Amino acid sequence: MTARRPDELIDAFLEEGRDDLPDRVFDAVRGEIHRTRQRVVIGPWREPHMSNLAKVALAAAAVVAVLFGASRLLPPASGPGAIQPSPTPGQTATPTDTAAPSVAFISPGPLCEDLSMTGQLEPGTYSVSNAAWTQVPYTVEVPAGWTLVDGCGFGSTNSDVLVMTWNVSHVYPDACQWDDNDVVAAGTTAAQLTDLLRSQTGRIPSATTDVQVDGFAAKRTEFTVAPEMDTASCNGGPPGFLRFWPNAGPDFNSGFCCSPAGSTDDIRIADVNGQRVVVIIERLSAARPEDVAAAEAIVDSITFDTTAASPAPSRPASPALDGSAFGGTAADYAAGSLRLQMERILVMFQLLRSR
Amino acid sequence: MHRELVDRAKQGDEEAFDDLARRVGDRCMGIAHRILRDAHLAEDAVQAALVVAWRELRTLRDPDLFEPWLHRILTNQCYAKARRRTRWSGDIRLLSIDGSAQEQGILTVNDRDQLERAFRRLTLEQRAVIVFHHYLDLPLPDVAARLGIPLGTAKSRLHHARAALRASLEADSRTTSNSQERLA
Repeated sequence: MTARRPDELIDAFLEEGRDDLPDRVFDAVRGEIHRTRQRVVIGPWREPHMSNLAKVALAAAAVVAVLFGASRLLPPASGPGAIQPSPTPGQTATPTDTAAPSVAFISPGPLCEDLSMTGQLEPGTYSVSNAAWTQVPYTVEVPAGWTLVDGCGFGSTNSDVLVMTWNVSHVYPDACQWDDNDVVAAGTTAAQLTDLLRSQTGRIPSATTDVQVDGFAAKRTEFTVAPEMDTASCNGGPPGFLRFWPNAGPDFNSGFCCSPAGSTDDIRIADVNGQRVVVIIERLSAARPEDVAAAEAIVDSITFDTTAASPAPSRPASPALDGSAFGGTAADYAAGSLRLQMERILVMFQLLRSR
Repeated sequence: MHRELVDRAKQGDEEAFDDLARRVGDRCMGIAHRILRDAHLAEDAVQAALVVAWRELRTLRDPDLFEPWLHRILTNQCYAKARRRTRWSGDIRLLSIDGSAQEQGILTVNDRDQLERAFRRLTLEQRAVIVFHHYLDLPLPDVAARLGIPLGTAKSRLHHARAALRASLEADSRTTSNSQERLA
């Protein structure tokens, strides 16, 4: 057998792969930047004769001024979904670290209508009514530091913990050897879906307990992927992945999947006036306890709107599947946020000039 | 290299940024695909990185550092995309049926399979270091600078990543050797 150096094999392995970005991505970027305003950079380095002390003083004054502007001079945004200034004004008023670009801030309001939407969530109350995610509209309180993941998931800072809801109509009997031609109807009650998930091959279920979500009866079970499980040997590959259920429809082309070995999905299935809502806290093995506690608080804050029925499912195509990706909403939010931040900066300079 | 285009793009010239993106996009795709091992996610990550780069371009003080700066944004986007597991994004890779063609390169099908499995077990941060070092041929200090991590951290991640990949190859060799012995 010819001796081969591992590093050469690793080099050869890494040589393989895609090296061409499709034109549609360039086109999408072009469309996106047309709608996206560039960050306005205003910093003390534009004053060449300033002393260090003056620079520090100006930076401090800028922070104070922006805080002041945020709290007093700018009226609070009104109405759900209104774009609000960033809660961390230092990001805009101080010279920017080029290696740590800011993120789009999303203001409290309706979510889950645009899967391409992503960004930092401002703390507050968000509403979810898309029936692809929940059969019963609800509101939820999100704390500071959480992000919007895939348009309808709430992720901790490092995304080791995710909170989401799902409308489940079918499940795969085997989460590893899943097959779109082998799905089982998930019934209509919490107990039916719980039983099906408990019998699903691929994860280890905990005991199921009776709990409540917003005062409605629910079944709670933790499903853990065994740490030693080789998910790469599952279907969908190579390498494969676990897949628990498909979308509720009209097609089965997506769904809940890909939990890695060692992860746990803490699933509460609630019966809300005859409608079923699946609430998931997914945590990786390395998840921080404080993030898990915050996720619990998010779930505890869910308030169902039992007076309104969710509109028909309108889950848009996943950007990861159709390749077009990254719609304009997040950037529009960012652009709007930038506009308000610019207003703050103008106020700041007016204040500084007046001194 | 791209100084003029970067300067024009910083002034809000969308044509210049489009030109710039087309010059660096393929390399970005190469990096993202190797870190994420998923073409769809990689396209997503590159697209998001380019939009962030456009938005933040005026914060880049040295136009000559555009590409390293973009790569750092891209790496962060790769981390973010990879940590989203709520949707299915299977990446089906078609292997040639012609076995001889597969064996012509330095990698056998088994090598590739073992390395793929081992690579996916690496953390995203380890993957990034090994991709920047092996695929982009960057020396470790440059890798550390590009990823914004201490040199020692880069060394440690590279060491563990290489060890894991080598172990996968050695395990495969042992398996093959044992099989041959049993057949003999």
